[in-house]
Amino acid sequence: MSAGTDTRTGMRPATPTSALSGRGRWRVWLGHNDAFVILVGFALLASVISPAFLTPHNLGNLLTQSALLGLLAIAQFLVVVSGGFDLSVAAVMAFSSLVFAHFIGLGFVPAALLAILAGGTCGLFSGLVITKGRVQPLIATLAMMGIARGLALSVSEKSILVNDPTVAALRGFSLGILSTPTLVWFFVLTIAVAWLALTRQALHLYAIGGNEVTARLAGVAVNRIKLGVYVASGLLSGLTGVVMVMRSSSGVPLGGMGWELDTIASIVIGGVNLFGGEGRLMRAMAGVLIYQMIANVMNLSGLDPFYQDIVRAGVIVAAVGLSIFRNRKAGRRVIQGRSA
Amino acid sequence: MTSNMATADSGIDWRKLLAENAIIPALLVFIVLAGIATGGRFLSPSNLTIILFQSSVLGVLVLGQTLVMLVAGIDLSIAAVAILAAVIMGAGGSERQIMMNFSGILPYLGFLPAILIAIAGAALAGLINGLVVVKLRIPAFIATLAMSLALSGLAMLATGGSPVHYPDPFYESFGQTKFLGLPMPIYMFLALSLGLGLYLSRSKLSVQLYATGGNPRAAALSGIPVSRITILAYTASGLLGGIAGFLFLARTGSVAPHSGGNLLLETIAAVVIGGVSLAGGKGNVLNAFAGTLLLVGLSNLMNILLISPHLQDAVSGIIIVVAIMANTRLQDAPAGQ
Repeated sequence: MSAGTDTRTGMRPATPTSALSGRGRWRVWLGHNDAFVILVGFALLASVISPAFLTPHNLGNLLTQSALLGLLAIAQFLVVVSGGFDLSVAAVMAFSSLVFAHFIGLGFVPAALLAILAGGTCGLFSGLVITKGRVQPLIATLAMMGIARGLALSVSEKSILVNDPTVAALRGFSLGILSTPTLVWFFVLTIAVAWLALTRQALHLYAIGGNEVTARLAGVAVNRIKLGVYVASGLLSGLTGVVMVMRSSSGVPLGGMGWELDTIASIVIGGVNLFGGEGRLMRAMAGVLIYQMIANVMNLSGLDPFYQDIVRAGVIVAAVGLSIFRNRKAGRRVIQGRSA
Repeated sequence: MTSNMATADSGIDWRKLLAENAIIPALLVFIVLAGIATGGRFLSPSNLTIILFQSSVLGVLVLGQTLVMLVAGIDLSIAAVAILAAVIMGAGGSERQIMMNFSGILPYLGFLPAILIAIAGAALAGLINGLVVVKLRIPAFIATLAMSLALSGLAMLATGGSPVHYPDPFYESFGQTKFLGLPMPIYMFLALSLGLGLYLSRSKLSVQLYATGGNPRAAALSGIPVSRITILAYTASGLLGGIAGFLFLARTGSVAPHSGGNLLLETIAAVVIGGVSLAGGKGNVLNAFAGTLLLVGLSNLMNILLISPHLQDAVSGIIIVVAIMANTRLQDAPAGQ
């Protein structure tokens, strides 16, 4: 959309950048990579303020802390690009973590599979309600948020400690600075990036998010893809629940409260169009890291967590507001370009 | 499925009437079934009073949510507004409570000032929601969810996270005072519903409200101040949230900064079960009122049948979805134009 770039990769501009002046080209490049620039700027600033920032140990921590949000953000990314929302990701994660903790007696792999499956079932339910029942994604997934949170709490009101050698081993494991959660995040990310870049379904996903009616008229199996997206989101949220247990050694029924908004805010910081059809996954992940760094800075500065909520609310509104402002400007530019 | 119903001579399109008010027969059927399932216990006067009493907070929030949904918005901050207002009234209005908050930032305000500040603050939160939605054009669910996050943070800050157990004794006695056998909060809830219902069915402003929600462009072109109406709806929603906070305190005699958890979802459930359209411009107070009673009645029934409260949340989630799907079907079938 904006300046006619390939929305998936941003690598193949439809209007050749060579036609633009040097400054214009720079501007277009910046418009497409602002999240990366902000991320690097943030990192430089942080390392100037605190020399401890750029140590491998701290970077590893930052990645581990971002992994859960990052995994959920991949799920949210897929749904938002398709033109929907999934407000249930965090609640489904919490539910799945409890399913995992509850069934850990069956062994690590069966419990993990059951947990992921539980997440996928939640996603399937949301997807069916949205596609077959024609309920708005916002309401359907808000209801799913209540359902999953209620189910999680009815499994157990308190966190369940998981005493399992595999979980303990995975918790202690790391590859250099990459902990298990980080590795899972990167693994899923690699698959998702490849899927987005290579498959026809991914192209259809963007088409649906851009304009559902046009996509349907062009022969895209809209409902099937949308259903698939919500199932994928559920499965990913389920997987994230398992990863959460690996991090905290317990299933937490109240885990991830408010994260559904954090995922939306961070991918929007990462340049994803809130109304679908546009966005690059790697840039969205840069958004996750930026969002997590803001949280880190607030933590390090010893700000009261309740004030942090208020700052977070401000960041969310600012990020969404900026993205909408940018979209409007981009829309105008395209129209002007056409008339010129 | 042609629009032949509209041409019927009787003047009343029964099918359309039924589709738009399906909640009323649904509520009646539910009451009968619940009465049978509990062997009449559900229908005892004392239980019916409990249902109305429990509906009072939710019912007032539903009024606010209905107003916002009529202008095609959504207010996800309304429960947080109510809780923050209750915290301010409960803690700021009670010297004893303030003494117990070691780390809260809220000072002792005095009984009446606390109420006034809480209500004014609630309306202000609504006003800000409206301004952010209208002026910054941020989607309502993001703006109000962020507001909810910020207000929950404020509520935690106010008392340092500790619950308010010792509000001014006025609240509890107000909640217990009975007139003709019914506690006062029920009267407030009924009066507000009736007042808003009547107002929405005949005032000029309400016509503008429905027009704004139904088709904002057409409304703007016909000279309706769409922005102002929208901001007004959000402000009123905040104000009603503040009043609901008062009722919350009167009903339970205490409040914790995090007690608003399920309230938000229940609000939306009641409104959409009551057939208020999320797309705006469709719905009325009577149906939303019936939706509230159905939802509260259902949770009351599940309590009688000893179903765990958490499972009840899950069940209400499913009910929302089923209700909306049924509504979509019903609205689609006869319309056909």
